[in-house]
Amino acid sequence: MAHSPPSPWDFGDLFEREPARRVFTVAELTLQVKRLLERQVGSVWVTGEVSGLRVQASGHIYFTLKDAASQLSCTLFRSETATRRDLLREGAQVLLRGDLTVYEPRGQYQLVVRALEMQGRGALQEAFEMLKQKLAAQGLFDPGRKRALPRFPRRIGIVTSPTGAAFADVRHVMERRFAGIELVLAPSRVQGQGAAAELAQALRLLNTWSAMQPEGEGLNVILLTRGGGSLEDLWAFNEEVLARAIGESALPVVSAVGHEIDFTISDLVADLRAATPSAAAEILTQHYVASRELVSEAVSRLRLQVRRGLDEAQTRRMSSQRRLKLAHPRRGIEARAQRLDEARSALLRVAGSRLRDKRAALEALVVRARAVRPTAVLIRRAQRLKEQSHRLREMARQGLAAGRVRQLAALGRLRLLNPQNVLARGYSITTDEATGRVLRDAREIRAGQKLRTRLSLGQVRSTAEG
Amino acid sequence: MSRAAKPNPDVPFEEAIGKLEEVLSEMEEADLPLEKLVAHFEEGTRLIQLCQAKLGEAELKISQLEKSSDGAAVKRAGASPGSEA
Repeated sequence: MAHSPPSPWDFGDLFEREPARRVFTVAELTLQVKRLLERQVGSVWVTGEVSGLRVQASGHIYFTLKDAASQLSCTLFRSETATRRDLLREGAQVLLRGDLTVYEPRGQYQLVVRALEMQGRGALQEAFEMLKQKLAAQGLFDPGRKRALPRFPRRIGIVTSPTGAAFADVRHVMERRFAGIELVLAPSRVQGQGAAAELAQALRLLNTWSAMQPEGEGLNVILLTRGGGSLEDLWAFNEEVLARAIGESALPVVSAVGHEIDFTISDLVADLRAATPSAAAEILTQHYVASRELVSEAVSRLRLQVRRGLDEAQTRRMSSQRRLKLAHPRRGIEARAQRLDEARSALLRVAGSRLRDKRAALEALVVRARAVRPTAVLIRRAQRLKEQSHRLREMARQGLAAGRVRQLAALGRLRLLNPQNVLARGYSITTDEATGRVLRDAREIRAGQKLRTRLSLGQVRSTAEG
Repeated sequence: MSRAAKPNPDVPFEEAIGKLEEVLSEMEEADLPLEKLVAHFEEGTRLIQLCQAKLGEAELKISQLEKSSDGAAVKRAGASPGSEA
């Protein structure tokens, strides 16, 4: 509406003019609010803490979802069977999906719950522990329930996602280690709402199909697997519906969920838990791998045994031959003939030596007898006499000759010693006149001493002068 | 030779390998007469061939179960979806 020109003092209507009245009944207004809420807000996710939980005889559940500031009325109808109503506990932190609406009789807005999840890792852990205790109490984890796996499975059922990494890993390992196996896949989603029920259904499908096959054509074992993921991703494997299906499986079940560190309820109920999908594939083919070694060694083991058998037979034959030869009668005859020969030569040897002894003794006696004959004694004595007289004559003759020689020698020596021979060569001998003593040293001679000197011819008297 | 010389492909691997182990241990542990030893050798050789043939199977067969319209499980052979994940 244009007023021209507007006065700066024109503030318009200070109070709204009263509109034409539209009067609602309470029901009409409530309906209006309800429609507004349902259209504008509708289906929502909301999180909070459960309080004032009331389970009615009708099976519907009423509670209040609250946080520090506000609260919201919630209703869970009995018809919502898929919802995990067992997670609803006083004080539990939950995540709800529901439709916002108004409960007209009370004019109260509220959330009609369609889905419910535990919230936070702690809450999931708690749910895990609760289910674990429950199933343990029912004996689902008993070691006695665990069945042995077939050593050489020919047909393996596998429950997993056809597009998942786990299925690829399993196929890869089996192709690498031993390919002569048939994998029968029962595809299933492995995470998200309803995955647990789908997995359980797939497990049952494999059991049913296997039971319908002719003898030897069915499955030997089932592998339930998925690759790694967060705790929430793996949650389907912690749900009771799947645990029950594993417990009821007629075929042994191997569970391989996530990585080494992940442990699920499925792992606990299954007959065997493998750390990873690849590890499961290795376990299922391990006996094939071992028997490949056995078979390759078997050829040489067989050969060795036959060789050994032949060698033994040969040895036995040779030893029999030897023993037979030893036992032949000719051997006895030969041995006796030899002994006879030996005895004969021994006899001859003894007889011969005795004969020689006797002959020698006889010859000695003959010599001695000859020696004592009387004529022989006389001849010997005459001969000795002759010899003795001859020696006597000889000795006399020799004695005379020797005496003559000695006499001549003595004469010659006497002649040499005669002083006259010395004087003849010009020497002289001087003696003291008075004593006749031979003087040999000039110092013995005193002046005036009377001396006598003998020469070769004659002697001289003299007096020493000093 | 009256003994079946050609490998019977219908014998399950488990049976063949079990029999081979039995033959080997009998030969190694019992003092068999030469004639039996040779017979065992032939039997063992036949089983080795059979096992080798089975172990040599290269193809991993993959099939998939599906529910038919009447709710019964039906095996679709050769279903080998490529790995996408």
